[in-house]
Amino acid sequence: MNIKNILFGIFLFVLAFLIFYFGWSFPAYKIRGESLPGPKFFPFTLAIVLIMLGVYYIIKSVVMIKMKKLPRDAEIAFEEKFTFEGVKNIVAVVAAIVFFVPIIELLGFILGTIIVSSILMIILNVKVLRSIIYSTILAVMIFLIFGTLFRIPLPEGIIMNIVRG
Amino acid sequence: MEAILAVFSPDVIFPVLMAMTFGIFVGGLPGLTATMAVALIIPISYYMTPLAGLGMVLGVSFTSIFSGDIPATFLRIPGTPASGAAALDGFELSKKGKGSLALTLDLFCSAIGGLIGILLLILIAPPLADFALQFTNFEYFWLGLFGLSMSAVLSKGNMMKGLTSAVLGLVISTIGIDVTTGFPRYTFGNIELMDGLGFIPVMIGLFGISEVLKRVQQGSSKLQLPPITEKVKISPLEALGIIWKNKWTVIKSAFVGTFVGALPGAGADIAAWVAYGVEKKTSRNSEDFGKGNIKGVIAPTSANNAALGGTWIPALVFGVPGDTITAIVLGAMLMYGLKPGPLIFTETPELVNGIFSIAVIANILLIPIGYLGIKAFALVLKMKTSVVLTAVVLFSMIGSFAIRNSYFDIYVMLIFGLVGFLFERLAIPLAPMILGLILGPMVEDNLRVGLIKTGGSMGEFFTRPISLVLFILIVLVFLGGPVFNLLKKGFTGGKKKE
Repeated sequence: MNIKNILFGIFLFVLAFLIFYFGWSFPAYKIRGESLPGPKFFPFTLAIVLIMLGVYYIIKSVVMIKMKKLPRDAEIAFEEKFTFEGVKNIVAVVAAIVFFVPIIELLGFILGTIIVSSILMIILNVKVLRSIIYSTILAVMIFLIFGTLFRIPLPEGIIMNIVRG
Repeated sequence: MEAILAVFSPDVIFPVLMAMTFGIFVGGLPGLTATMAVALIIPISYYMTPLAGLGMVLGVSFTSIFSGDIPATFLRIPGTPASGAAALDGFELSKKGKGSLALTLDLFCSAIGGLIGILLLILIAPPLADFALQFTNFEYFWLGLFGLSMSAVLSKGNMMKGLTSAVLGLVISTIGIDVTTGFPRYTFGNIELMDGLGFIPVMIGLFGISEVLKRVQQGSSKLQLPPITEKVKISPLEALGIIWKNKWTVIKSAFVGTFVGALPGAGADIAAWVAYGVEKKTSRNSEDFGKGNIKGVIAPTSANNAALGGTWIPALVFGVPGDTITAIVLGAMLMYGLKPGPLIFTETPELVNGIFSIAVIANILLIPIGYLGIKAFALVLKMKTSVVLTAVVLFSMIGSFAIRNSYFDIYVMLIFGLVGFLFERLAIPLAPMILGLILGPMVEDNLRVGLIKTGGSMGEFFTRPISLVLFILIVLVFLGGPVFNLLKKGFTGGKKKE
């Protein structure tokens, strides 16, 4: 946990550096020649706070390591170890979200959702037939709620558009 | 009396009932907020009379704020931002098989809190709103920081990590066009980033997707949602008995909720956090908070519905929105040709009295409708966990997309899902980050406008009476806990020596 906190402190430094780096070119804000807090004022103030917090985490964690102590919040951190199955499941969820948009764009909302949802359920150990049934119910339900009731434009799919000409 | 009779006419009560059912449904779905429910009901309410239309908005806001607590309790996924505080102890109770107990208490507290909020709206609206109107940029700046400090200090674990989370939320809020100068910040030429990162995809990512990732990582053998087996069944009478024992918590939280709600910019979400904080700080068993203390459910749920009454105070009396919901309400009132402000009380008293009557009746109707909502949601949870998690992923994606019809927001949701997943491994609380994102513009704008007014001097931020009080409150929020612990240690140490 102490090592993780040191890495987090370094992350805060990097983030602060990026805030300064990309914000450096923000224009100054002047009215009648008087300099006033402009677009960079607030993010730069926050970046300074982040650096102070980064220093705090690094110093505190180094001291804790020397004292061979764990931070008090170590017990509430989510500490599940990564297993092959766990990583596979995480990759499946992330991939489902990443590929959801291109798939529904190509196949249309209902068919695309059924395919993405079924594959995800099967990877998460739901039986194939049940996955397809649940996915179909979910896809139709979401389509009726969002597409029909709320009139949110859901994609019909490139294939359907080609078929329709 | 005429106002009450008008409310019970079929062309008013049926649309209100329909809107309340709709609110239960939308608020209960992770990712769909009470604000979204209100925004979606507005086009339908346009075809109703002003009384029925405004009644629908009131009804939908009451039920959706309550039903946001249902997934918060069962899944730790707040249905609406106002449910964030209730999720802490509600979910812990749910893990112990007491989800129904938490939600039954929640339902009654929401109704009672809502009623107290409305009664306060009716009784003391003008002086309270008058007080809130004294606030200027200096006070709003401290008020925003006060909300952030509360959420940072109240989070489980290390206070510094809560503070870091809040600062990171503020950092995220700086993305997009700078309101004061119109300059795009950290957008990298991406048009989707011009409006900033939407808090809904960020919230769904942090609270929804990160939870899904945590659960699937545990593997299929451990893929189990905690509330499926309910060990504790509770009757409404028993729930009322518990509430009676905690009546002062309910009343205190409802008052806090109404007061916070009446402050422009501070809505049900901040009200819930502040009430939770007040209850935790004043409780004898403060260490039990976050571990399944029923007061941790009673306080925020009484406050968030009470805040709705509060948010109507500046909206109705002065035409200043109390939160995003009342901002939409003001738009709806203008749509009906009504002019919110002091004149509305003299020009259309029957409408004002009708609104008050609907608000009271809607809070009473919340109990049966909310009860059905809990039962319906419990059925969803009886499904296989992998199916529920997949459904959460689908609803989260479509919920993130629907708010701005933007595919980009689905990827924003994913990134924040991964951020939430990693942060939980570092014991960094997530709620302060979302609050930082929501309050960021309020804090920044008021700080900058305040500094512009004073020519760059911070003096007025500390010398104005209300500002000073708010500043002292923030200091007390951070120092209060450690100082109290030191005093307690000293006292108990002294006793032991004796």
